[in-house]
Amino acid sequence: MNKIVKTGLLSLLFVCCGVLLTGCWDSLEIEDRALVLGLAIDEAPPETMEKETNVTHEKGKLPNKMIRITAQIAVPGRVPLGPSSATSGEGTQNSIWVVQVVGHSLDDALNNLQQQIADPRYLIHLRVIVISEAIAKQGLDDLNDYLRRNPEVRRRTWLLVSDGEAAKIMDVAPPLERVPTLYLLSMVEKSVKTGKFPLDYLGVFWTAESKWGQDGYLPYISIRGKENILIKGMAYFSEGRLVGTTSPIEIGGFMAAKGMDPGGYSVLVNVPQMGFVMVKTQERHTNMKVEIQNGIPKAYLNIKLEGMISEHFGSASEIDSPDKLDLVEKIFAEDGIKIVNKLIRDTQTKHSDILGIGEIVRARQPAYWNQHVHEKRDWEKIYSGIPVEVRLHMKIRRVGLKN
Amino acid sequence: MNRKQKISTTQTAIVVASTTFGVGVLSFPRSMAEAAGSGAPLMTLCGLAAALVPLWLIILLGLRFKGQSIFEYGQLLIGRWPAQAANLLLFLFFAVSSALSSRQFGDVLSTVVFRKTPIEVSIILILLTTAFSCRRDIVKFSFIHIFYFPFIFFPYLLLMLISLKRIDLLSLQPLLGNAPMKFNPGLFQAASLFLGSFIVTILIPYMKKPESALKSGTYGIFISGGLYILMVFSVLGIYGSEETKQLLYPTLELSRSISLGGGVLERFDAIFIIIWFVTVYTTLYSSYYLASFAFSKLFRFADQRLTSSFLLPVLLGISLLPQDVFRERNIVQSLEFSGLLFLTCYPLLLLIISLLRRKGGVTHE
Amino acid sequence: MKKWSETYRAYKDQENSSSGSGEAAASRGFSLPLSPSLDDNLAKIEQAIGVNGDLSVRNFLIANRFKAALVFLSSMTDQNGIRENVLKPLMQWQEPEIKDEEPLREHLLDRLWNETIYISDGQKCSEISRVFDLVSSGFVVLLLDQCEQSMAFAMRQIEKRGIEQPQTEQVIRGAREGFIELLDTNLSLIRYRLQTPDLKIETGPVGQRTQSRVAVCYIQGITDPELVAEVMLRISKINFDGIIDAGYIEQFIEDQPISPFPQIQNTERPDKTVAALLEGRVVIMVDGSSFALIIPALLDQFFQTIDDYSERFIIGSLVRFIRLIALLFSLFFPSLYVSVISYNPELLPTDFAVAISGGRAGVPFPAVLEVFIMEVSMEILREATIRLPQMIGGALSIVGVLVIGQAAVSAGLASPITVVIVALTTIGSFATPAYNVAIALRMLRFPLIFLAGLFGLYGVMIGTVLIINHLLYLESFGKPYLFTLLTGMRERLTDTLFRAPLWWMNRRPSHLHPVDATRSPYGETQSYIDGIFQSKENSNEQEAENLNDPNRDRRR
Repeated sequence: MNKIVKTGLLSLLFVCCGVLLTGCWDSLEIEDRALVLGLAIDEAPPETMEKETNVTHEKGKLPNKMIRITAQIAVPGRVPLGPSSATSGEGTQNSIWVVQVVGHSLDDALNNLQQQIADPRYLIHLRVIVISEAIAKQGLDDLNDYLRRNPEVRRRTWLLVSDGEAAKIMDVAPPLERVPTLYLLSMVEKSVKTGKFPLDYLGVFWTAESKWGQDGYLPYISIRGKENILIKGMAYFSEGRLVGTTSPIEIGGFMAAKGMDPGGYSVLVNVPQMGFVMVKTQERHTNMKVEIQNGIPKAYLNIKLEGMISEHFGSASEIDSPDKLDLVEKIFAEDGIKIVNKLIRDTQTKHSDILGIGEIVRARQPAYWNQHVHEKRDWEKIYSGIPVEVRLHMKIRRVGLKN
Repeated sequence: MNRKQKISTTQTAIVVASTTFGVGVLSFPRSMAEAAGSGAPLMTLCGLAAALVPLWLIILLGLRFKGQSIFEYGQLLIGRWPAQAANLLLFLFFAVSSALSSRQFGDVLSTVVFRKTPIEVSIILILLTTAFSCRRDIVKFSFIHIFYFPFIFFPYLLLMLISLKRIDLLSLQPLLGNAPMKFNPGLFQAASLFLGSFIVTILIPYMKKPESALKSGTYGIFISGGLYILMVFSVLGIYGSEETKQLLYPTLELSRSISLGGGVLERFDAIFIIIWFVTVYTTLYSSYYLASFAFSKLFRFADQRLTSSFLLPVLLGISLLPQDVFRERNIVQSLEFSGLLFLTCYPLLLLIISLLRRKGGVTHE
Repeated sequence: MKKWSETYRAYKDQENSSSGSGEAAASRGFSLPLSPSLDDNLAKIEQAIGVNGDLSVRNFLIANRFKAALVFLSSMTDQNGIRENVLKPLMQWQEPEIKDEEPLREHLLDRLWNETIYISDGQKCSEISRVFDLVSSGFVVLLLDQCEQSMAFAMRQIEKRGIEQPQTEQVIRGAREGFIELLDTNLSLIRYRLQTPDLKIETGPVGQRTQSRVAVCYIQGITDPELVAEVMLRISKINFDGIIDAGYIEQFIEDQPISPFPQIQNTERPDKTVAALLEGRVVIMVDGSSFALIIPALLDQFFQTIDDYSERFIIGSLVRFIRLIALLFSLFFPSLYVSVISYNPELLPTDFAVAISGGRAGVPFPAVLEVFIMEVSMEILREATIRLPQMIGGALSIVGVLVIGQAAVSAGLASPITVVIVALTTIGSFATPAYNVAIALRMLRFPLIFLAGLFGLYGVMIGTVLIINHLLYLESFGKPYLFTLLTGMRERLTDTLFRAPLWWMNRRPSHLHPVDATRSPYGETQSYIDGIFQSKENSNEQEAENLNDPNRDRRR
């Protein structure tokens, strides 16, 4: 009996020690955290260096490069709990707090930001990072280093390249969503669901950038009007720097070349004697093959698409027979090949293998690969010189409700 | 009243599986990728095969000396003092390896979840939890392993299943890897994942059918090895070998990148760490148990109840020794290497001696 | 009634030598014989018990010349019965006077027993201490002058309540009978459900002062003899002045007193008791307590109800699943909430996280304290409503709901989500059928909340591991507490998370080591459906052969 009492007392002591000596070090209530939802990163002119508060360093001996970040921080209490109270534009404006700081690097700037706000900032809900084209052209490796190291950052964050000033995107406040960043997020994610853009999270971008036989690409966005955001194309990279952008239709071409579903892009083709036909892609299957011919790899792209006709205008001639469908398919294939070929030519001149042909070479032709490729740059050089043969076959299964 | 409880064949297999599936889970796809590139799954398989050798040796010995563990029949075979020296080495190995497991655990916690909590606290907590449960007998020991096994096994399997559709088979080709495989660190690292299987030496005396120990030990290794291979497979399939090399904890990264319910629920790293805690706990439990068991045999205590509490501060001290992450990794690697060497050679020596001197029971009784 | 140590010894003897001399000589510590003088005896009795107001001594003459007295406690005996069945026949008994009265006087007691008294149960006794015992346990003792023996008649009658539906374990589909306080009635409730001579009931007094009758029931030929012996051994070691309730016995014989989890199951339901007996368990009942103790009890047992078995198996399985979820709710919800809010907000979907932080914006406390306060007030409310009369209880719960729910949120003491969490927890904890396990789990959630406040999810996990390790360590009468979840593959599949069809459960739980392991005589599945699927041709053939046999199997 005595033993039981002793054990009890001992464990009580233990519990008391536990409660009194430990300090809930990492405990921080959700409303006491400054949740950074979105970040915009821009170049800042070197003269802002004068304005910078020296939080992480003394003046001097620092790179001349300056960046300016614009952070969207959620303001607790402004976004009401529950679905009931749909807020007006005014509420939307207040639900976030936009803070702008400059710094030499991302972490430097974020530390400067911390110096200006009370609550500790957290990147755990950072969903969208927008960078300006200028930053992307300088290379993303420095930014990525911080983002990779910080465990708060999600791999499923979206990294977007903006054609103008990135900070402006942070100011866009569409009426559809309470929190502007979340609108941006849902816009990109829904474009993935509807086949307008390939799934391309930060993690996917990193993975592609790491692979020797592949290069990364990012969504390229732009502001249209006051409150609209447009997905303008893909921004593709070589050696970690942005080297070029595509048009929106080329996203479709890219997705076709990679065989990515769901198909979302429609192509307007001009069929002789039949006017204009809009063909919507629904499914894509692609077979990519690489053979070594004359000592250099040759890539074959065999794209098979399935689609439907969604619009037809500019001619009285109805599409009402298999032959006519075949004709549409043929014309579509010709146009499609042109789009894909242009995309491949562009990327070849820019040394950016976003299709990942190099990965196929690495996996299927290891002998060639081991002989010629010793670092990522090697393949990027080889890529611009290889012949690529594209075959495209469209099969239109349905024509809609109209006969 | 107490009917003598025994451990069945399946239970032994589960204990071996949950022991060997441990701390390495988080980081070992990286070391495999470093050693073999896209040939990492194959390398893991080789390691698995290599790990079977010490396991079989120890089981064969256990079958020759029924009712005894290596700490006892070692003395029978090579004399008291040499065997005590070997036992001391065994004790040291398991003590240090459990200390380092807890350190690795604390490191992950401090990096990912508790960035302000002192690492000592995380380590003390897991060590305390383990030390509490080390005061049990072998049957209860196996119960703990059996109970937690599904909670280890199925979440990892689920993680693999969720990420399966994102696997790019190109990343896994060529099967042998582009650069020649580095067997030197690779194979040893893979094989040393399974060193915990040494635990069978104290399980065999409590088995219902000791003769099936060989079967259950092998199955146990296959279960955990299969899971390891699957994990390397999916990590590599998703990230490719180059990206894997850049990630400190590739498996954790995998859990960070999955989502459920169409992106509503994501960021499973906190939950994953919790599951990983159980994984580490079962592994740590085995090595802690072995260490305190060895210690009690070394000094001829009746059982390991006292020693388990005594070891706690010692292990804490050892775990705090490495100065930084890279030094710690080096220490772990050299410990694993020497442990693998010792745990293979010592049983081999004993087996040869027992064959030569014809000691130990004829197994067919 | 024998003492429990003797019963245990006798049982062991019987077990050891199959031809056991069951009636071991009941040698008592002291034996003071009755004196031949009636007045002496009466004086002694009155001296010993007589201060009580309810001791009645009725002096009368038998056959007009033999002095006799009836001694009984008027409060515990059937007055009417005494009048009609004892006094009346004794007084009306006529015996002509004969010269030599000595032989008659010697055999008077036997003759009275054989010829006059209309009582079914009685016994002779010749020791004065025994007389005390018998009187105090409700016997009517007949003392004769110049006779060193007395006769005791079982005429106990105690006011009892009727058999009602058990309040603590209500079922939708099942018997509406519950145990009452009288042991004999309770035993009869078991007996009529289990009409087999193999049902053994060992009774004996426990408690130096209360001398409560304790009955141990088991089925011979099913229950593991070692288990029965262990139960008896443990009961025989109880050394306490009073056993007021079966709960007293439970606390004296359980394996691990310092554990929040009960290791013995209690029930008010005779049907549940019978089911437990049939599985090969031992049941203990105590006079004066309306609860039976079922031994051994493993954790999963506390989550089973009679409904699971009387309802069809699919429903039973689903309901069990719901119960498991409710259990997890009540144990983990608050601590998970705390750790998500204050440690891992990244687990929440972003828009929800932003909204939650809005809901919490005015709350002055950290989440731990908030949840803790709300949970404690909920526990207080629960405890208060149990004790209150029903009329006030309703009013109190309305006030409680208002205070804890609406007002606390409006006043900014708690966030709406916290109220939801607390409500779910409380509701979840009431879904556990067994009150004692439910309360154990409810209390365990408080340390979990604390750990969550200290270390977030890691703390919750450590707490969980400690709880589970404790459960794994627990034993109930040598059976691992989580056996069915660990090693018993068959039990795990048929009767833990799922409730398999009854005809699959044709083996008794193996951890009880039953003597007779199978429930059906041939150990084969026996359902109507199996009969159809087995082989139609076979059954048809057989039918054709035996069409004229009146005793043929009419299973189809």
